[in-house]
Amino acid sequence: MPAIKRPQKDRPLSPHLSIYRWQLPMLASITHRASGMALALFVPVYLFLLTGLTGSSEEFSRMLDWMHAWPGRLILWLTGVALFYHMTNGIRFILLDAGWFEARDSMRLTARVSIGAGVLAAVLLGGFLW
Amino acid sequence: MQLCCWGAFYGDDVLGINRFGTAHNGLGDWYVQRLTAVVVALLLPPAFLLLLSVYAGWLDQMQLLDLVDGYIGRMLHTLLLIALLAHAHLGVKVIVEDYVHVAALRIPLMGAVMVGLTAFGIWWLSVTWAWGT
Repeated sequence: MPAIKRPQKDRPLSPHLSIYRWQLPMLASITHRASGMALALFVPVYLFLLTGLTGSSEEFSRMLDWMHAWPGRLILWLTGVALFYHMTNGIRFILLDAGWFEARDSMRLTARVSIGAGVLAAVLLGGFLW
Repeated sequence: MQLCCWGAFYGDDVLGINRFGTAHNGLGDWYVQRLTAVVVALLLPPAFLLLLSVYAGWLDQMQLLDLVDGYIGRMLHTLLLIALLAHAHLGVKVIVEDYVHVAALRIPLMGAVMVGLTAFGIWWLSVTWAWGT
């Protein structure tokens, strides 16, 4: 197995994020990770809901009550917003992988579209849930 | 190349930062992440819309079960859960590999994530194939 030559052990590494000025594509990227993490944490909640909603009719109405109480609403809202943002920005990432929108300006424009879609989802879903 | 102790502890020798692609699964991970993303993007929005329809009272329990308890509904839901758990595993792995530099923490953490997601997958499968019966 070929080893990479590393003459100097203590040289500075690349991802020193704090030295860069914040840019919209950076925000889009870190939000993608944060929303993905939130969606992964929703998996147990989804199972809890699914078990109840497909169980007995008492369990079904208990789940309905749970969803309508404010913690349930808040969780549904956060998840829905995270889902919509993660999906829009995920499509953006796949388009980037395919070689589209790679120029600096279009990176910024598409980051703006993703974040705008997330904000729009937050408003619409908020209106639906409250 | 220093192979002992601190290097191994921080993962810069043992886990292959000094070598080319020792894990041999980088491209596979990259591709599976995107393939599962497409499947999840197609199947998760309908599932979430069903959830919101139940929330809004547009569907009662019988109507919900009528929609999902056929073989096609169960099969699509099974595809969704497999793709979603694989996608979640790869996504969490990317995040953990970027931020958890101590191999002695990262490896058990990823192990726990994998076992946890598998357990949820089994439970989820059993719910999916039992509902409406």
